[in-house]
Amino acid sequence: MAVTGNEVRVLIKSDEDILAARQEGRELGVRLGFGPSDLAVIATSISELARNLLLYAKNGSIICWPINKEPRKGIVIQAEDEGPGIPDVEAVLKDGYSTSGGLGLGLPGVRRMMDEFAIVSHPGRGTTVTAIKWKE
Amino acid sequence: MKTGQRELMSAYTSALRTYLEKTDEAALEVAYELGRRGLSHEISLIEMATIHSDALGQIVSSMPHFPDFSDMLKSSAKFLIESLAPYEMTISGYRETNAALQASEERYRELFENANDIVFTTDFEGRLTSINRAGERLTGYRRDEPPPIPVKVLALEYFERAARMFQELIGGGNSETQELEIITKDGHPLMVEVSARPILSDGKPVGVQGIARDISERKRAEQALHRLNETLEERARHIAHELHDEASQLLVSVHIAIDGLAQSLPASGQQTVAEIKQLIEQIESELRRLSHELRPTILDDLGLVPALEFLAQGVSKRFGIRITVEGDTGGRLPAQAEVALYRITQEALNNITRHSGANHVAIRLQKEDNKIHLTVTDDGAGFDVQSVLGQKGRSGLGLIGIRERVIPLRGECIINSSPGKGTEISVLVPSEGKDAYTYPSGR
Repeated sequence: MAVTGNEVRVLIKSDEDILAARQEGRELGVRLGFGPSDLAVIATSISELARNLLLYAKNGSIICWPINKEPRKGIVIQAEDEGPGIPDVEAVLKDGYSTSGGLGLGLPGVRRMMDEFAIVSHPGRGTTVTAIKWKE
Repeated sequence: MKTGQRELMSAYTSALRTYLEKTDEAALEVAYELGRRGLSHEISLIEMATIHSDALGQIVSSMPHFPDFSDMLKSSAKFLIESLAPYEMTISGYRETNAALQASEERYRELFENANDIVFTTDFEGRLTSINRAGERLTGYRRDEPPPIPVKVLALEYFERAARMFQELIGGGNSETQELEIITKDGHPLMVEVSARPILSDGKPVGVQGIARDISERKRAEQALHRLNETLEERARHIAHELHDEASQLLVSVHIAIDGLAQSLPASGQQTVAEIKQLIEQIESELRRLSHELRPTILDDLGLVPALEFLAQGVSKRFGIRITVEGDTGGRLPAQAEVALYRITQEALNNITRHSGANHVAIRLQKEDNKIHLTVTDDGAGFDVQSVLGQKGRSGLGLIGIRERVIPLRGECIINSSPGKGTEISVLVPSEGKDAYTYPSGR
């Protein structure tokens, strides 16, 4: 675990690391003044992204930092890995693609819960998923 | 209770108990895991809430002493929210659906607002209920104008036609496209072509929606064409008169002069004089024919059918084609219609003699209600209509000329032909009523 400036970074190598990432993300959320339901959404998104890291890239990092884009404030959650990459980003965002059994969880689920969402993937070099939750 | 639900209930109760004892992230992560498990066991949101409420009831009743409710409720709510968060990922993607809906509405609104034509809706009483920007711009009326607008909008002479159209529409039927004149807010007349249909709700008409196109440009072009045709007819009449009266008179004088000359010539010269006189007679007859084709007095004096018969005789004799004229018009037609139908037939015969190689041509006239139907049918070579009409050169001009004769009369023209199948030109023009021939001198 390392903190650079406002940024919180948690290496994800096992299930226990997911708990630490949730903890860090939630604490940052609390500091930024998010309410209970948004905090649950933030923690859930971190869990989903971290699970994906373990499943598809074996390991990676969850990074959270505050964002201030007047007049809005929010939190950025980023999952970064150096795994195999996603050949067809559009396809993984379709419900039913992932191993979560078509329940709309995983990446499409995170996209629905969060306010902004982006995937950058280079096959063979890794993937970065970035999501933002704005404070209402 | 489903098996999955019972198992979840006991896991949930124990996890909630743990969290109430020690409110840490690990317990909240379990709540999230339980929510996810609930989802995969198809346990609904309401069932999850019930599980939570039952679990909390069990925990409270098993407590040895009265707990601090305020803190406990706050904590248990946090746990519940955490367990329901995974549902937020799936709630039938309602955020996406909403966004898609909004985008689609936005597109339709833009289409409506940016159309060049007037797009409008009215209620049962004919009051405008919506109008787009083009409508505001062209009529000068604003969309928040107090009703009733339509009464002021329509030009008086079109009121009946519009009312008829509106009656058909609120009866639930469709109506033909109508040309109507509206008066803009600042008092200018504006010709529009209105097509409308009823707005149905549960199969019952509740209003009218329509599109009105500004056709003042087209009207101006039609009127200009009409005036041009009039002017050309007038010139033709004048030239015909000059040829017939002036030139013929001169030729009569030439006859007399030659007769005088002949008397002073020896018998050997008489033969030459007779030849010259014969040539002059040929010139006379050619002049008569030309004059007649330019503007047959018979058309003005006796009407369309005798004029067409005379035309047919002339063409038949010159080109050796059998031409029949059948039917009648049920009395004289307005001069404009007679001239137009005569010119159309003339142009059709021109095309036939030039290109078709036909042996037989049938010209038919028929009165249908208040319309006159003219058909010119030949058994000639035929042609591909689209490609001929599309040609820029001379060959397409005859057909285009026929169509342009029809436009100012608000008639219809259908040209039927294909290679090897002969040609039928069918023209339908109104024969009476102010609809057909009122032509304002232009604004």
